[in-house]
Amino acid sequence: MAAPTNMRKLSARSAKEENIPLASMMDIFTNMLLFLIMSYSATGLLVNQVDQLELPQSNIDTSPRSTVSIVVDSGQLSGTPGVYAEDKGKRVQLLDEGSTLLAVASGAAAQDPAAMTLPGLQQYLRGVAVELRVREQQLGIPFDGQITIQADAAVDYNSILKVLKTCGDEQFAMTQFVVIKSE
Amino acid sequence: MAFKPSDKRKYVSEEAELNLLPILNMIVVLIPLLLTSSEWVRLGLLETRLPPAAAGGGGGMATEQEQPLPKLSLLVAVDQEGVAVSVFGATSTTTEPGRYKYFPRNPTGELDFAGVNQELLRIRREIVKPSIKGKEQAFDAAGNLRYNSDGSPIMVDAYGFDDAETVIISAPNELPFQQLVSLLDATRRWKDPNSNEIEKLFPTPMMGKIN
Repeated sequence: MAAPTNMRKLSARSAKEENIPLASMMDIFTNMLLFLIMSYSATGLLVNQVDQLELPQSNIDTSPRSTVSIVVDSGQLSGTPGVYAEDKGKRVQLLDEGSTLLAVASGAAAQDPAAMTLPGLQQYLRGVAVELRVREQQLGIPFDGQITIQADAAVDYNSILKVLKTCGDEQFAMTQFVVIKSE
Repeated sequence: MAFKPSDKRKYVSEEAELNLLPILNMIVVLIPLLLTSSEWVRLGLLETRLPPAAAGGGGGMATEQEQPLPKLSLLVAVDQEGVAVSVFGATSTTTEPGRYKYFPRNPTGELDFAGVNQELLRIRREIVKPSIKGKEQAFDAAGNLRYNSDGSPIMVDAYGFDDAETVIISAPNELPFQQLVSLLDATRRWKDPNSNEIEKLFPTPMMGKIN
């Protein structure tokens, strides 16, 4: 049997020396894995946060549910204030312009209930309510009047009241604001 | 005679290496999976109710009571200078103690949420709690009795006030939503700074405007 050549001896030696110490990498990976498992939430997100919207922070511990969803934007980040229909984290339709949303009635006009109603939102919710009623009759999914509102932290109180009143008038009395949990 | 091995003989222990590759493979798959599916921004829901007159068909509870319970009429009214907390329709001119309290803004211009929170805790403990009548079965929005998944009835506190869990919020038009949410946080619960225990205050806010 022929003796191994010098080249073969060299390659055999270098193959032995190629053992990379994996212990430190394993430590990092184990720590990362533990951290991710600890902070992992098994419940999926049912509400997608809309871009360019700074949600307020709250210590609430109720988790979001999937319902009819709208966005109330002050325009501080997006530059386009208004009320939008929302689907999967995207604004899909402008319902009311910023001028309608931010208008403040004064004097006798303030007593008029119509001054506190957003026409675009009203029309949209009316259509959605009809759809949900049909679904209730055909599929037996109960219509509970829930609506989720993603409102910018800078939206004023008057605009919030307008949205609440319009929702209430159109059978969506159970309003829920999406907030960022601070605790 | 016992055999004694030679002192010259050396025992070389073989280094057993763990095969970490399968574990490493698993971790490399698990970490990206967890990273992509983790919830980094934790969203919550803040529930509000409209005052009964403005509420539509979705909510509202029809309860029949022989004798209407007295009203607490808890009002938290924000204005330019601060926040007023009142019960039983009291105003700044009310002389009866413990029914009206005003919290001016902090020197930085912030609303005194901590002060409001403490005052609501006092109202809860001194006015609402003593009139508790025990437990009664809860109703849902349609007026039907509520049950747990195991069939047992859901029981809630029966208070001596019709609106024992309700707070009416009034604020100026320009109040930012973040401050409104902070105010709602202050009205909803009180957290003991020592034990971190949470005490329920008034979890049902109704928002309106006092002209």
